[in-house]
Amino acid sequence: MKLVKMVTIMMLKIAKNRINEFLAALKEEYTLYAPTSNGVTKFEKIEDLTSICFLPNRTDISLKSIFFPPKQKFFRWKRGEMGYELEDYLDGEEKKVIFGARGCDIRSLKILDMYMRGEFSDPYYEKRRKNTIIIGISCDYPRESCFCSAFGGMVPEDGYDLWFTDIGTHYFVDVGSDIGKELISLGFFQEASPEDLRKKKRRIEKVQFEIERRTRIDLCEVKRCSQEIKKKSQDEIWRELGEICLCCGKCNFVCPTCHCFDVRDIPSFDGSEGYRIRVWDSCHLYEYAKTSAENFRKEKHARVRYRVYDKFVFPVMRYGVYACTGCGRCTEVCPAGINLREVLRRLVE
Amino acid sequence: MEFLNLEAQILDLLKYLGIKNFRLAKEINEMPVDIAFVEGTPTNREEIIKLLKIRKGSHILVALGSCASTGGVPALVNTLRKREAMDVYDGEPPEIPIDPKPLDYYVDVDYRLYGCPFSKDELIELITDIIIGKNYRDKEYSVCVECSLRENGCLLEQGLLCLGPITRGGCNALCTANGKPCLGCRGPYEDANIKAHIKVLLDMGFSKEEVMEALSLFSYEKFKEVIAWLKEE
Repeated sequence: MKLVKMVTIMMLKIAKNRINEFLAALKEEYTLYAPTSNGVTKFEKIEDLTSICFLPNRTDISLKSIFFPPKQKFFRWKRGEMGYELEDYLDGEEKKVIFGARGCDIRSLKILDMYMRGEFSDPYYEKRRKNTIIIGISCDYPRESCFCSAFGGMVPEDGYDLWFTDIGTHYFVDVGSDIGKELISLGFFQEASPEDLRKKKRRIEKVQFEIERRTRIDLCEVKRCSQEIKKKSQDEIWRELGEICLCCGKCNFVCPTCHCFDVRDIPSFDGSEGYRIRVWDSCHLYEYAKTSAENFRKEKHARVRYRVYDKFVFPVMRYGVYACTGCGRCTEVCPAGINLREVLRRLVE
Repeated sequence: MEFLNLEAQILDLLKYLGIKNFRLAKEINEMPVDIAFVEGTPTNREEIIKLLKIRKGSHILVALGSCASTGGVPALVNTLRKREAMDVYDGEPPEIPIDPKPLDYYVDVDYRLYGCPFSKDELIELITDIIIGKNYRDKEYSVCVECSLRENGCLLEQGLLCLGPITRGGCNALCTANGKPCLGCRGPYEDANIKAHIKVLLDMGFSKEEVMEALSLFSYEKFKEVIAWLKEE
């Protein structure tokens, strides 16, 4: 009896015209981040609920920069009488709600967590990342470059607190965590019928089918595929790509799982005070692998190969997972038209 | 002149540096100096001699701005035949003109600050590095890097002729962040894949002439070989 009751509690939906009320209630206690559109679509802090953009699919810019900004101050130093005084900039601690994250966004956070909160913990990332509530949403239709079905599909297994799926006048709501359970007690939700559940399933299947039709690539056997890619280190494909790649680094910057950064000092004229900052870096840039002795990846093809390997080979060796979510952002921004999906297809087949 | 625009920092800067010679802002000018900033590029014999004198009388010579570091707009005249170029003077050139070249064609240049106008931030960075004895390095990445850090949309995607991917960064993507495509005022960086970018632009539907014009606007001297290659293709 108890079990049945729990199942019925989990079948929930929320009316679309009550979403704003729900978000307004959340906004009172949390800082709200949601997609906005201003030329490019990205996640921004929401002051005014009308600025939220209900998009049919993922944003142009991922939510990486909320937790890991492009430029971030570490600390300020000052030469005092007792040596150097440091003033830390551990900022951005706030209770956040992210509304409108897609499956790829949620998976990318899991991968970023793996790098920055796992074996080595990054305090600046950790500060921003903790106390974050994630409300995900199913895509209405995929973008041209999407291929998340190669990494487990549009709906992630976990990593969200609530998951919304459009079923006409309502959103069907899946609860993914204890915090999610607390949120549904806010009173904006109503019980969903079996018909709603069927609608949701149909909806997801339809989009999923659409993504698969585009993807036409099977990467499910992680070990085998990464081995396959590893074997191709001397393949002619790298030379071809190295010739057309502009090495502008855009694919790295839009990638929701790329996390390299460069540390720089900004001193005053005499160096007695200044800031230490970190800035996103890109493995496609000439100076990325440059050391005092030599540059390990002088040639462009080596850099292109490195990026693919750093997504599909090295993380598999270290953590057993890919570091790609199939969001297709790199494909979309590449001025040279390099399509990661096609590259993978050539490598795996 | 951008020096005088360093309003916020100039007083602080003068604690460490004195201005000995500044033709546009000072009456009494002296030589020799520790650091000489040279703006513009010589276009006649007299100016070359002046440049050589400056080199002799300075410890560090900095090429300031587009014209000094890459040849800039004056070098555009090298795309024309001499006779055509003379037409702007109504047939009577004031002195015997020579082909405009970047400063390093004539003298050793220690540092270059690219851009038209050059970036104030980079100037501060260079002066700081010289004072504290650090090695100032040219930016070896494209405008795209800084444009992406500002999370802009791509202007190439919008179908504009943008030279961002092959142009040296450091300007903090001033133009592209405001919706204007990059004109390439900072010249190409060493690692730029220029030929690949030209192919991208041609595929986008721009004509060879349009691409050549865009390339030669600010850095004809740097793109000379590529333009010759493009003409033959």
